[in-house]
Amino acid sequence: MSEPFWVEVLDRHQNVVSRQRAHDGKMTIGRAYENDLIVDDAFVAPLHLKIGYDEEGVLWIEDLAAHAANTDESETVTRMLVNAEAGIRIGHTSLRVRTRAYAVPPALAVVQPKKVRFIDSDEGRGFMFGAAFIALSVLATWLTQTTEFKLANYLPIAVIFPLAMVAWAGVWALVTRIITSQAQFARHVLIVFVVLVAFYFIDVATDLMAYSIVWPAPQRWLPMASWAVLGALIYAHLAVITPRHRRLAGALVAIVTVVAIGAHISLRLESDRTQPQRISAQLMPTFLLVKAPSTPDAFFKDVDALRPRLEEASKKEPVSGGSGFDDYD
Amino acid sequence: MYNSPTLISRMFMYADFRALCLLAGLAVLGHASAQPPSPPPPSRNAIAAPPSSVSDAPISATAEAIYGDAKPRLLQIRTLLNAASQKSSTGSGFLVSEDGLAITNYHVVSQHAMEPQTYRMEYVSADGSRGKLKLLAFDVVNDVALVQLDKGGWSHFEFDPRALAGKLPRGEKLFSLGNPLDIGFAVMEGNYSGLVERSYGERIHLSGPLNPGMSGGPTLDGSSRVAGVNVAKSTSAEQVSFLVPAKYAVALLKRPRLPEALTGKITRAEITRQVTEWQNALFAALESKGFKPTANGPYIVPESATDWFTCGARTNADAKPKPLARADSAGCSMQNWLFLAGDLFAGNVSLSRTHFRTEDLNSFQFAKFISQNAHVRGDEVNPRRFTAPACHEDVFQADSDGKHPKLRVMWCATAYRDLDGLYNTTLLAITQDRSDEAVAVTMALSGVTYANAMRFAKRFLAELQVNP
Repeated sequence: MSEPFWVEVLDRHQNVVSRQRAHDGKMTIGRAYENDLIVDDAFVAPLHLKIGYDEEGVLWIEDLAAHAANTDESETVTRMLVNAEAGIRIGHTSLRVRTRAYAVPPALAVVQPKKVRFIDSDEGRGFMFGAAFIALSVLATWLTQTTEFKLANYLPIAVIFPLAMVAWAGVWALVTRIITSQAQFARHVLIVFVVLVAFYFIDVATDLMAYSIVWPAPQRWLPMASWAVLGALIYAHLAVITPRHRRLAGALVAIVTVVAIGAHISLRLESDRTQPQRISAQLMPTFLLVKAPSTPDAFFKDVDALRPRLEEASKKEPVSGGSGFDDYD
Repeated sequence: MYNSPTLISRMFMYADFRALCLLAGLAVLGHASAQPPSPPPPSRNAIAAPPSSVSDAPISATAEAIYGDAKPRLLQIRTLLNAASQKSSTGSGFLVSEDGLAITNYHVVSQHAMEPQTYRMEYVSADGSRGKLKLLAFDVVNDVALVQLDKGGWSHFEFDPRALAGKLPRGEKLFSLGNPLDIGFAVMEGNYSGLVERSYGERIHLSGPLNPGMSGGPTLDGSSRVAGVNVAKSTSAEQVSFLVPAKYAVALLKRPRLPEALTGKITRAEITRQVTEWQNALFAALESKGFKPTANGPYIVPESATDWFTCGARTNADAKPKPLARADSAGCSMQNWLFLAGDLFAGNVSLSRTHFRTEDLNSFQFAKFISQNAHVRGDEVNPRRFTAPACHEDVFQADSDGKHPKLRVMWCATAYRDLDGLYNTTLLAITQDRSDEAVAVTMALSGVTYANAMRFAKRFLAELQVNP
């Protein structure tokens, strides 16, 4: 009597969908109802495969169809030895053969599921960061309120914008649900508000650097950082949707982000050529001013250092259009 | 150039380059749009007749006689685009010698002066004859130019010696001539109202009309002698016009001539030289006169001690929605715009200040309030005319003697592309010593050398003090 073996039908994630036992040492596979294992795959022949032992007790796979049966390594064969590790592909269906000799891994220890506290769940964290973002936004609005209080000034930042962000997370959740069958709405909400809170602090930090230590460069290039933050946000959403393709998602988002930043820089440089300059810093309470004041000599030495740059620039052709006047002479 | 008080007062609030340039552009009378040519005038020989008793005659009869005498000596001056042979601008001019020397405004010929290879000039006389014009000399500061007609044998004007000596009596009847809107030569009556007061430059105040296209035309006394050259009018007031005193036209006749082969580089270098020389003298005068202290709460803000500035003020007290802090602004500006080209001006000095104070805002809110209201309001910089602005920002303290507050200062400058060594600069300084009160001051200079701008700014900042 031959050893029994099992043929397993796998899904695309290599999970077993069904398992069929061969009782008499052989099994035929195909779409026809005369087969031992019927596969509903239009690309599979009615009588496609036969698996069975030969006279020496070796398990073989034999292609019965005009179609070639392909292994996962894409070798086209008509007859081959069964390899317990390699799968078999017929049409669009993945199969795997197991014998009694196949050693299954030891059983996992049964772990009682931990009761996750609300604050440690995605829902709890999303709520916490959302509340933090709203609180920071309201605070920022209040600190820049220079006219009498109006509720209308707070509604957009405290209600409308957070709701819009939740809607954004909802769109991502919908896409996730379609692709993975699990929406993970709370995870997407958490991602949105974590990024917004992070960006809020970046914004405050650049304002502080511009005012307190008169280093306006980070603030000046904050719009470029905004693109990077948006890219990070989209990457985080994509990583939830396709955890197995994070690198690809990351590469695509990085490319789009770099293009967006490049376009922004280009527009910014063009704007810098024509727009009048203004005090770069958002003024803050004077107690936040850290930098020691320059002396008149030091300040005007720096001012004078602009002159060679301007002289040099005046000798160059303007970027757009011709020179101011005719240059025939 | 002289501008409307309404627009000027708005201008003073901030150093608004666009507004200032626009104002100057509105004020000059040349550059009328293309119009049909004027019909040939009746021929009438005119000479520098001795003064007659025209004042006894009815006014209309006097004007008729003046017009009849003057018409053969008047010119319409056109600037044409070489490539298209089409009029680009028109103005007026008048003959001052038999061999064809004529006076007009610099701004009438400015396109040719700036770009002699792109634009050429021609004249149309009262009898309809046309010919080429050559630019011999110009005075950017006083806005007069000397041109040479392509032929001689002209009757011409004489200058009024009383006008040259500055002894015209106020109220004397004057007659302005020119070709307004390119619709034909015309005479308009007005009165001499003396020199414009509180001005660094000299302009005659004419109580009478001038219209676009009359720029460069003569304004005559009752004896058909030149008292001034039409140059500008107020855009917001009636019958307020301005003339270049005749002495500047006479002085131009004695100036060295430009080279025969005129190029843009030569003319632009000459423009730069004249502007630089003028503003060197201006800043020397401003600095020698110094600043007078103006109290703004505890702060002492400098204001020019000269009377060449026109000032205005405004407040936000009536603003809606009601602000929780006061911002009272005052601005002073000199009205010495030098027209260099259609979109290029020089020579302005603007100083402004805003006093901020609050009892209701916390220190964050007050800082935000200042940020919203204190800035050098500028316009887009024309990249064909100017470089991109270069700026420097820092914390500044003129002295640690307790009288000079910490300041947040930003300096920006752009260089003129075609006028080497000239810059537009802006300075904004905001006091940083209190959480409920501050002063922001601005200084905007146009067409200055960098050294003059820095020296003036340094002096200006040193004068900004606080009562301990």
